[in-house]
Amino acid sequence: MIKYSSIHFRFLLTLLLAGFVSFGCNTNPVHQTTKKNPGDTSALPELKRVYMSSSLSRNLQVVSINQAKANEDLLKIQVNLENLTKQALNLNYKIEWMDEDGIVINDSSAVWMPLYVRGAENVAVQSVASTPKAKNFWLKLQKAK
Amino acid sequence: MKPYFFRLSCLFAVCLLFSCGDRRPIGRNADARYIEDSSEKGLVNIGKINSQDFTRAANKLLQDLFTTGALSKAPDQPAILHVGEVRNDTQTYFDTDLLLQGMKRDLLASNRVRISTTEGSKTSDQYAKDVRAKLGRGDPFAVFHPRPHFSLSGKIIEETSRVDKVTQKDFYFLMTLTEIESGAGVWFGRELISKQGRRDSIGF
Repeated sequence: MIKYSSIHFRFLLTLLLAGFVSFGCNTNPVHQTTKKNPGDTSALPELKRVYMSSSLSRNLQVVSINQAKANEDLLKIQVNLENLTKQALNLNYKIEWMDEDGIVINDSSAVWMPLYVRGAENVAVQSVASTPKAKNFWLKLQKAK
Repeated sequence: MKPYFFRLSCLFAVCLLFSCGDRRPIGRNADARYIEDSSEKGLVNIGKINSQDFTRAANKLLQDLFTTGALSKAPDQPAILHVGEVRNDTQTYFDTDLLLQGMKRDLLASNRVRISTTEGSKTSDQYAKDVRAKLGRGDPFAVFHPRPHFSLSGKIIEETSRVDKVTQKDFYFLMTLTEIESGAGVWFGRELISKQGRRDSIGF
């Protein structure tokens, strides 16, 4: 009887510990994508993706990014995202523009925007730089809490 | 049994100290903290426009304006832009410069317009306007700068819908860019920010 309760107690404690660790490490990493070559002016630039291992990297994919010019000299991008699951995803995204030296431009686009992606849906998110100095960007994606 | 319990307690303590959740400030009541400008962690109210809403609306409206290319059609570049009145037709008071200042900064950065601060009835720099008027009166050879080519105006409207206990507030940001020469609108921007919830405060 004593042996049984001891095993039971140990099992409960281990379970509690596992639960505690998993809830304590409730992290929400930001997934980032940028152009591999900042000087790439092609319509479909090659991308550099910085993903942390998390559920978001398994559920969502940055398929491609199209770039063009708006207002003659402002860089315009379209990010094509794909939900790889059947579940809807609530996300936040932000686009930070950078000049040719890689310095982040402080403009109104540096704000987290809500994005709802339905199961297995492809969505396109667009953004236009506010200055002709913008040559590259960081697309940041995070799960909304 | 005792060493096992002791080891587990130590493990708990270590997990508590080094767990990778958000750190809270030390002290029982010290829950005030700084947040980033327009952070997604900012408070969200159904009944009012929050700071992140102004930034989002300004950003989306400008992107639409830039995409249409209306500013690049002015004969003289950069064209002078007069920023007129933006009427607040919502139930709460706020200064519409919360929306306009960010827009002015980004418009100027686009190199397509220069923004007049001395033209119009509601000038943002009365001193500069007065000095310019005095200089113009005293000097017969005074050089008058060209009048604004564009004028930007708008209004913000609030709409409320309720079903059972759920409330939805829709804030419409409506902006119009008028070409002064022809008197015709060359861009009509509309940005909608909708919020839904059961109580006024719906979280972060």
